[in-house]
Amino acid sequence: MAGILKVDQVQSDSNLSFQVAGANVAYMNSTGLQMTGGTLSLSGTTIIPAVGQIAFPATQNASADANTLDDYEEGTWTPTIAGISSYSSQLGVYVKVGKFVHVYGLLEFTDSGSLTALDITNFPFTIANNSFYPVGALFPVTGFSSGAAAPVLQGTPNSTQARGYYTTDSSGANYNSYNSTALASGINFEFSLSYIATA
Amino acid sequence: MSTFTETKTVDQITVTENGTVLYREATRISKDGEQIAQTFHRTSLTPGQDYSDQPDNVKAICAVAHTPAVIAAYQAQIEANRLGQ
Repeated sequence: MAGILKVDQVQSDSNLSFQVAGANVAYMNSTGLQMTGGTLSLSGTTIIPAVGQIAFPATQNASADANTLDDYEEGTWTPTIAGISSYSSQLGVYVKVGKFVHVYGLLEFTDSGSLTALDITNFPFTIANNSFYPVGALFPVTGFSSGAAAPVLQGTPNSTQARGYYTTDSSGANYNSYNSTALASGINFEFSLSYIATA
Repeated sequence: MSTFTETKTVDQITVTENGTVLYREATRISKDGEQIAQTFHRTSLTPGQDYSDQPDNVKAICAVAHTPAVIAAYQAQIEANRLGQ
């Protein structure tokens, strides 16, 4: 394909422009190399960012291609328990790489009241809507009944929440949902969950 | 002397198919008018959840999205999607 290499000294920003069929496809100026569309193909080349950073746009440009990395974001969120309105501590952080999301949280509250389930809500991204149930860790610090052993966290597909489960020492693999009976007072726990998001 | 400012703004609001409203609050630090740092805090509001203490623009969207029918469908979907007891 015929092209033109043009050094543009007319414009005030002095672009080094690359044109195909009279249209700019890329230009270089004091801010760097800018492409106006298309794909930058670097076959046989290793990309080595001199400053060690790759920046994604603040708003994800989602790709359906299985080999395309389309997002990175890190931030905070505020975990909550459905049915609990008062907390001593609510801390949450997340990292999202493509569709992969990892969340960590810490919750502390005084009274479980009449809680029928330990549903952690307000996750920063929706869990993908499929038949895969992400399983995470739940670490009881204080306030969990002695018979409520082997705590785990299970995400609910197509939602922004996960439920805490436990088993009793004698019942083996039959997990029960946490409720106010399995929780005492001064409840404090940490948790983490990795899951695939919807986009 | 440089002037530093901090602004908070809801820069993304998404409504999913089942009515969940997800939004992102960006905290931006500027030096002499030029942004030098940015952090994010995310929140999700499921149908039926109290949103009275949320930002006004988020409340307006929740008021439209969280209809009684959407709330009922979401609750049914959550129960159906739970694998455990």
